[in-house]
Amino acid sequence: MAAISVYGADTAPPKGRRWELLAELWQDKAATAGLVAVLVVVLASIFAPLVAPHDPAAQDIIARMDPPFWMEGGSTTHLLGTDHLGRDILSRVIYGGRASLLIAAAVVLVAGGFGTMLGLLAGYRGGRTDSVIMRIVDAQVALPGLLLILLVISAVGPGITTLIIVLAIANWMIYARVVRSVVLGVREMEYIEAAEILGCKPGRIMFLHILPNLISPLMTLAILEFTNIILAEAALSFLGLGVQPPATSWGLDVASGKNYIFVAWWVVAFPGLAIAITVLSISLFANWLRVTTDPQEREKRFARGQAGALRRAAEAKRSAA
Amino acid sequence: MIGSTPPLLELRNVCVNFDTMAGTAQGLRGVSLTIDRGETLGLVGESGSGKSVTAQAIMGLIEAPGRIASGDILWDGRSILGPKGKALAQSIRGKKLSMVFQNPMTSLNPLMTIGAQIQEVLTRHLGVSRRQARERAIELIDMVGIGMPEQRLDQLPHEFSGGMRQRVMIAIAIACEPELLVADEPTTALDVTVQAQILDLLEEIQRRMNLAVMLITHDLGVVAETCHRVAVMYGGQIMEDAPVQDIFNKPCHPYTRGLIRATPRVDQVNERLWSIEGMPPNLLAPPPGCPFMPRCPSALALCETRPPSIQTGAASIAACWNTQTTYHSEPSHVRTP
Amino acid sequence: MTKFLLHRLWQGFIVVIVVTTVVFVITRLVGNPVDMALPLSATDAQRAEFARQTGLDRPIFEQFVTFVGEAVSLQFGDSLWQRRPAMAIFWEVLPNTLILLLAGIGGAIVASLFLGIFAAVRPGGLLDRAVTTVALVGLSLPQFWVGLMLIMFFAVIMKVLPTSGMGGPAYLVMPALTLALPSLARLTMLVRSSMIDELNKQYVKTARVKGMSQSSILFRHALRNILVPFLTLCGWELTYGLAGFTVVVESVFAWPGLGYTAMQAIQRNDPFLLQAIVICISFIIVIFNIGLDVLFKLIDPRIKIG
Repeated sequence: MAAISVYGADTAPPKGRRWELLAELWQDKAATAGLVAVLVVVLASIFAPLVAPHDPAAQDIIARMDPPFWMEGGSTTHLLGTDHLGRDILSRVIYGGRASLLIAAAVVLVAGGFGTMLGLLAGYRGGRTDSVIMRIVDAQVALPGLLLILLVISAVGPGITTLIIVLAIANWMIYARVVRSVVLGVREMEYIEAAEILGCKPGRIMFLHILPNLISPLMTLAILEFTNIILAEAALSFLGLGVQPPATSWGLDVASGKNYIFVAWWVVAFPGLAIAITVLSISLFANWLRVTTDPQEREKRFARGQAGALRRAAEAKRSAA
Repeated sequence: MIGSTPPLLELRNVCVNFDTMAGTAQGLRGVSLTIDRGETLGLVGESGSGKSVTAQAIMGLIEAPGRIASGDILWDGRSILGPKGKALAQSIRGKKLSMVFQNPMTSLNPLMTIGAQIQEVLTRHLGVSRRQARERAIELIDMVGIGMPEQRLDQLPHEFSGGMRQRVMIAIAIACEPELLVADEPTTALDVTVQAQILDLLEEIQRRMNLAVMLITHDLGVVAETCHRVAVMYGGQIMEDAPVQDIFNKPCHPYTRGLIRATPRVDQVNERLWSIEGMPPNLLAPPPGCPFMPRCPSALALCETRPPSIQTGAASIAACWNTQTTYHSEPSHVRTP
Repeated sequence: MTKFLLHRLWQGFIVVIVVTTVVFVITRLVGNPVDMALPLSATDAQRAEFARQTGLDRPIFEQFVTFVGEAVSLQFGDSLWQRRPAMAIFWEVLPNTLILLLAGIGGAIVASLFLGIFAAVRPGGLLDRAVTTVALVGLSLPQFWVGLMLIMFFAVIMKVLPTSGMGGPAYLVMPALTLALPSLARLTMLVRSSMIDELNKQYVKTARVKGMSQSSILFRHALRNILVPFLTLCGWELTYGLAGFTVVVESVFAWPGLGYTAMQAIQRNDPFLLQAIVICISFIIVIFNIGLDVLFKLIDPRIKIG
């Protein structure tokens, strides 16, 4: 491969770049579906009062554990059925997304902000600051993560604020590591040295010159962490240590339905499915985004596609013969 | 020619394409070559001319996104390409046909001992026992000039210098006494002093084992010293293929002449280095005619169509419309032995 | 090697000190064990009596010294819930978690090697796309939900496996599968991507030119070069499991391991048992990680650890 050089290969023209990207996204059906699903989930959560057919907390003793509409005994009033208190599952799933997405966003912001600051500091200052910060990062990685979270929540008492703080404390290190490594790489560049010689203040150099280089890796990391936090929040809520009733969350709904799994699977299935679809969609789209923003990965993806097409053509030819 | 033994290796009009996002890059555009037993063929040309791709095609190393689009490669008259040639290709690779790469620093498995890397070829192809393989490995290591072979055998590649690793690569390549050794710029990544040693070693082995060598290089001095015959490549095509004396004494192709003129000489210290003007062709959209035409000082209108391979001597060909008029023009200043 | 070992032991010692301090701060300063252990309706006299019995009325520094002493000697006092030494309970349930980890993560480790390697042989091929899709889905499913769905399918509908608890090997199937899924996905993706990288390296070309067989190239040449990142992730998966991430699976299947016991300790207001589990687990993790580092040094002699 290295032996051939492609001279005069144009890079994509700036004009209509956005449309070209959209066209490229359309080529990847899975990523497109992911993006659409993410948009649907986010919009449904934001406009939950408008979208949800029922009040998620409204109980209906007569319509307890009604199955989804396509099953016998189900009705279109409760499209996805009702839980053990007769609450509408579809509405609960729509409202449940609010808690999950909000908590995940808050944790990513807090942990990401804190981790980025410390990573910038460690990478830019170097020396003693760097070694102290990185020691803390290393030490925290060696701690028994979830058990400590359990310990803290049991000591402080569960709740949404506790959850956000605890998850942020448990997850900021990765941002610090990534940011530090990027900063260390960028620091050596000539233009940073030039800025230093020109007498730019450290703060200015950090925010104006170094931060832009962090946007792409931080975005990718934040999206990945977002899905991790959704799963972590769901797990803690499932264990009864996260979101507390009467508030709703997908994890909590699965927990409250688990005792009825023998008679009403839908109470457990749909909130869990909502988590799975959300996380999967985000991952699919993020994956595509990561590859697309990396020219080398992009070329590899193209080559793989080409090789696959050629192979399929050859196989088709062989089976036809 | 009918009835005579087929050449050891023959390339017939081989085309290799690389599918990239920017389009299909044509790595080789109809390369025809032969190598006879015991012969040293020099394959020269600048970066991107297709030398290494030729070697990869011979060794069966062309992988996606690259593919051999057309043409054939024959070993002893039988094809080694496609599903039919697969069995033959597998039976000769590493045994009768071997290769030494450009960069010895990365060519050896970093986590396997040198001994294991030599011995596995022997056990695989010659079916010898472990003990026999080890004895033979010691012989080979000694033969390529590495001292204390028994101790060295149990060391890992990172304990060896670049030149020593290239010696190990050569030992692996000649382990099964092959008939053809493809050496892809075997000295480019090495120090100058080590380069000469490695070339001497290759020459000595070539003579002692009477194997055919295909030496890929961009160093014309090396070619003049070691090769019997030279093929000059440009833009994925063979420009000229002739015995080494002819290439240096009466080069027929304007590109060959340019290449020779661009080689620095020791006896002209103060002269500015000469270079061929212009850029190599774009492999995505190569010119339909002679690839060298845009840079050629003696281009004709005829050069817009692809020149055929014209016989320029008893065993020489050149792909140029203009060989007749340029036949004796400039005598070469590189001496051949 | 000795110097390296001493260095790692020193580091591990520091982590242990940090954990002990953190646990002390969380339980004694942030929270209050008296509040945790006693019901809201308890009178002040009852609270004072409880504090006196458990030494919680002493000055905070004295409490800390006692606490460190307990941690060092692995004597954490009695569990309030079961009225017997916390350590006895710990040693009783530790094997259960280890069995689960070994079956789940161990299975994932073995399976991921094969799946990852075969997917890497033809990147973009049918098997590769199937493996990557399954891995992506596997990482997106919440573990507790997978567990419940397995229970629904195999225990409720098919009636082939027991729903929960611990007994014969049949009881292990679903918890181990559930625990394995995300690890399997992560490990497979790592094996796949590092194998693809490795197969593009020059020494693999050398091996091909040498005429080595595909299986020799995959398992003899490339595999040993991905072993260090692979074993690093394997070690991380096991550590992660030990660090309490079996809690979810153990809770779903009522598997009487450390995680389940920790949850019980929380629900039954038993701060002392929870402390004992947290600190002992950190000890185990530290020792385990030192062992891993030694192993890596043996596998790849080029690794230099300061």
